[in-house]
Amino acid sequence: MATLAQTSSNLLLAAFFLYFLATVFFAVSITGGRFKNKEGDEKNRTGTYGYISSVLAFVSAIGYFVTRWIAAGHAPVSNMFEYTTFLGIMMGLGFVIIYPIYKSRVLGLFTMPIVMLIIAYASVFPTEIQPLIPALQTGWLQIHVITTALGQGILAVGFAAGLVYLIRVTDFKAKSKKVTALELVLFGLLCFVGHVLLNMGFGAAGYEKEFNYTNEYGEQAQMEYQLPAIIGPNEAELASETGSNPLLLAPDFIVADDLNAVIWAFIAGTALYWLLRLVLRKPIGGALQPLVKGVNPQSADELSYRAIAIGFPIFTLGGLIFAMIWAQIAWTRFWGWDPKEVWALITFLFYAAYLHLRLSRGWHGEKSAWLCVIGFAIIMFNLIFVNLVIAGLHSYAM
Amino acid sequence: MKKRRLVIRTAILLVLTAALGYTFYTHFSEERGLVDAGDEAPDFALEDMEGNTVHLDEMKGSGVYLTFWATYCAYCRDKMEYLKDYHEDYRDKGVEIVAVNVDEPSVSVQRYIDRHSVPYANVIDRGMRVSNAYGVRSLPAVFLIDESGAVVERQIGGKTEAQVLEALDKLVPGSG
Amino acid sequence: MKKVICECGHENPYGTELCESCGKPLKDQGKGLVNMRYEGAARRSQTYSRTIVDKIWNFFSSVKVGVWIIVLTLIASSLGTVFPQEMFIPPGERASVYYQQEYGTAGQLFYQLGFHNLYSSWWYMLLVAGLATSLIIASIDRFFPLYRALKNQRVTRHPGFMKRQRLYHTERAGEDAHDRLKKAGDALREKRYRVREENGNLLAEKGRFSRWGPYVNHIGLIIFLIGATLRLFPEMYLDDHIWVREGQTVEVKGTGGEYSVRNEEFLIEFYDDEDERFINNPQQASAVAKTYQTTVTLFQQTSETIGSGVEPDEVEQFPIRVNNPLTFDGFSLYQVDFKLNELSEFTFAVEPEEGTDDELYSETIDVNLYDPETVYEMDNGFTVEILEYFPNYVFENNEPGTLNRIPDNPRFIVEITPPGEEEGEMSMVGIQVNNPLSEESDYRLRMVDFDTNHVSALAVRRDRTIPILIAGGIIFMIGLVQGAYWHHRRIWIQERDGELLLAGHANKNWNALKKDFSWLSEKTGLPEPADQAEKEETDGTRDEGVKSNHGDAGSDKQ
Repeated sequence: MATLAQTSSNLLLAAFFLYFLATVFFAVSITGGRFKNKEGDEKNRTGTYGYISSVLAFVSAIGYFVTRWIAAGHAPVSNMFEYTTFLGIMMGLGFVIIYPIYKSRVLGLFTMPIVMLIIAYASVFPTEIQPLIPALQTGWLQIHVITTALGQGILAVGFAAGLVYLIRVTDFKAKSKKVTALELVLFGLLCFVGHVLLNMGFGAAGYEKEFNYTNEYGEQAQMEYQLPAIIGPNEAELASETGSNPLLLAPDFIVADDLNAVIWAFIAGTALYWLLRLVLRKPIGGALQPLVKGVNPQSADELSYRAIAIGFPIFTLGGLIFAMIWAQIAWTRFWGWDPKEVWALITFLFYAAYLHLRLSRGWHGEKSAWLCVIGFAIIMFNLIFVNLVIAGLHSYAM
Repeated sequence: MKKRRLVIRTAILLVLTAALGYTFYTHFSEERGLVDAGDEAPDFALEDMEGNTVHLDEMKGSGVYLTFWATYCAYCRDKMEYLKDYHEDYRDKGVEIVAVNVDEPSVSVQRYIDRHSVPYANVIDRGMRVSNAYGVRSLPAVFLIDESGAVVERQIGGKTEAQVLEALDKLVPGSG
Repeated sequence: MKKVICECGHENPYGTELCESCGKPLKDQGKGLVNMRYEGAARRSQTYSRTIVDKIWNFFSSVKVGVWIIVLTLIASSLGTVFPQEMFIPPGERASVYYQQEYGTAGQLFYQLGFHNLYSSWWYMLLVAGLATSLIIASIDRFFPLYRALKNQRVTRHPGFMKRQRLYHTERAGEDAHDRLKKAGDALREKRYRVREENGNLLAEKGRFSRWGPYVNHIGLIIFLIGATLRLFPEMYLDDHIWVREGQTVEVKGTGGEYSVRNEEFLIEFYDDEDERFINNPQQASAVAKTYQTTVTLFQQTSETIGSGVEPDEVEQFPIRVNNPLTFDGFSLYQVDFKLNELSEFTFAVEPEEGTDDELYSETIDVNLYDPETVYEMDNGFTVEILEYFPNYVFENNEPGTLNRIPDNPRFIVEITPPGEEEGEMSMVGIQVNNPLSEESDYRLRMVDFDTNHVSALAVRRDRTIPILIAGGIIFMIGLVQGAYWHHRRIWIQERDGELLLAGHANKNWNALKKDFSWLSEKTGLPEPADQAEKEETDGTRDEGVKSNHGDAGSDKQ
């Protein structure tokens, strides 16, 4: 069994590198195109290679999923690592589905790194196989989670296309609110990159600090830090032999190590961002713009809308309807206003508003693209913030 | 044509308003008990502490002051003191007092009744079946049942002596 | 009401933008693409606004208002997740102090604004009610005109309509124009278009039913909301719970005494630390529960009078687990909570106050903590009488008493009468308590053993709204899929005054329509129409151009 679990991890690693390969192919197919303009075929072929890589990556990722399922005895969607990884895989699948329709290589160039980022982010969480509490032992939960992830993955492709659109049409030469906002989105993505890099770095260095603290129930508890503590838990005392005390202490209802990780992510994101700006000597969006020059804005707009239109019913089915069926069986009622449920409802309402604005009020192009970005932010907020920061009772797998 | 449209619109808006209004009214008005004023009192037949059968149906013709209590309920104990004093007077006027204990151990109930010399009928509601039938959720809970077996009023919570007297007066046959 | 008569002779309702029959733009004579939303039909809301009823109607009919309500609901919903709702705060905590104590000033504000019960507040319910009203009225207002417009559309369209479609092409019609049209008709039929021909003009249409998707899903939503509203009525929705000790039979609340359950056994199972799946896990597998299960026997009482003495019938035995409720006669029993090892029985022996007496220890009495006897006669001649019993002892107001009837801290005042004696000795006995109350005492009770039971909490549910909710959910999903995964495409081909005109419209997914056109072109040699929206875009200034052109295109919807 342990070897099967090992196989599973290897397959995920392979998928990760295949996604990387796909990114490279798509990048070459776009930038290389300019150099090899005379040989039009070659350009096309790298795009196809990129697509083939992304399909292989998906196959490999499904291999990870299946082997881990067999090893664990339950579908691997029951903790943060498993769910987030699966969300990344589903975004990859969304791309695999949508690419043949629109053949947009730029979409590949933007989607693949985001998929990689999500999978890398997932691996920061504990990756061990965990036993399932009784409430989670039902097929409905797995159906619910798998469908939701697929829906969110496709919606995330809509985000990538929206981002392409915005980078394509925004004028980065002059300072404007649009540029600032777009830079903020890219900064947000860099924070994730920073978070992953920091955790990998400190993990490799074997950093670990333990604190004794008082939890939200007034009990003594221990908390382990994988990053140096800027914010410590409530009434913390350092239990490890070495290390410095935190600068600040958090109140008891906040999960302090997660808040600490968020602060580090912002620090790392800021550092990365300014480093890149210094190197590029212009807004990052502006540096990306030449890559999307060849994109027809209207196609990007329609693509993002298509992705949302395809993803929305799937998300609704998984995130609300199957969720209600599961809740009815496991929690005795189909709806209980638990923060997770409320945020799924908010996601639903948001995309419903998006569709109405687009269909009935003619919000196309830029406005629509911004909505796609905000929608993705809500999905990530639900995944990360609601699970980790709104403490205790209703964290993932509760 | 224009008139018809106005009628249809008005009708739809009225139906919507009525449905919402009714929903809000039921949701935000004070909750009606499972058994409440106007309902027929659910029948029961239980043995009291002395071994006599207390059968609600057979008490028709008298008003019944049906009180649910427990030894650990302070308001119930106060109420019991008032009832002890007036029990005889009102029995003569045709009002019976029936106390239902909510499933406490017999010893505890018996000792309590002996210690406080409670004179009226006391039954123990084993399995909370009577309490469930009357929808009793908190103590003390009192149901005023008239001579025809219909509930006149449902009273929840502690009451003063005057209020208890007033309730008993309501139950005198022919008074209402 | 003033009708608008088009030059084709069709009478259109007031407010119509594109003639229902031929599509001629009636309102603006300007350039740019025509607005195809709702086929340019007159929405009723926009045409009458004289009375107050019309004004209310028009308010709810507006998509703008609808979107605002959605956004407000969204914001309100998110506010409720800032701190936990009252139902999630630890049991026994008072909301009035809890929020301030835990979350400080922000928490107090949260409580004072009533956000701790946000989702059942009157204003949140009003928002949802507004949403439902908007759904109903906006759908009525749009469905009927759109239906009319699509039903009345004619094959032959006004050139002004054709010219201002997003996909449009015109050229001099060749001699073979007629044949090509014929061929085009056949080809499109092959593509499963519904083709209509009239005076050498052609209209091919596909996927019109997807335009009904939004209305279908709105109907589903309304049904769902009706179901959810009905849950507020106690007859429709029962939400209760019962605690059942092992061996105890408890009536199922809400069944009017008809059903009761006996707890045969409560079982809790943990994962195995040895399980090799979890060996690498830092958290111990044995700390995680694997199963909670209550095996119950269900009984049905046939007699109506409580205490009639009629024995209930056994219906079935069933293991209730999390995710596996017992369902009968519309009721469901769910495993929700448990309490392990509640005291159920004490075993006492009499012992001398000083020293030990092995002979006495061989005689014991079992005292049931739920309902003890009054007097216990022991074979060795001792009599033990229970003077007072407090299942959950407290000392309040200088008086011994009990908190409730659950034997969490049982205390007895007993009188022990040795054989042949008249007078007994009193003492108080409980967990680690054994105080003589008489002046002189020679004997006391000694607890030699105790017994416990597991207690299981079962939620009792009866939800008569479930079928309505299921129906609403299914209809909603059908509508959603219908509107999102299919799209309405139309192709017009006309030969008029020696000119060949081609135009196409899709309510979404223009990509597919363009592909159909190029396929058609390959098949029949007809020209491929140009995308006018794209052309305008490259002509105009980039930033503003994108927006306004898109706005004009009004390509989508319903």
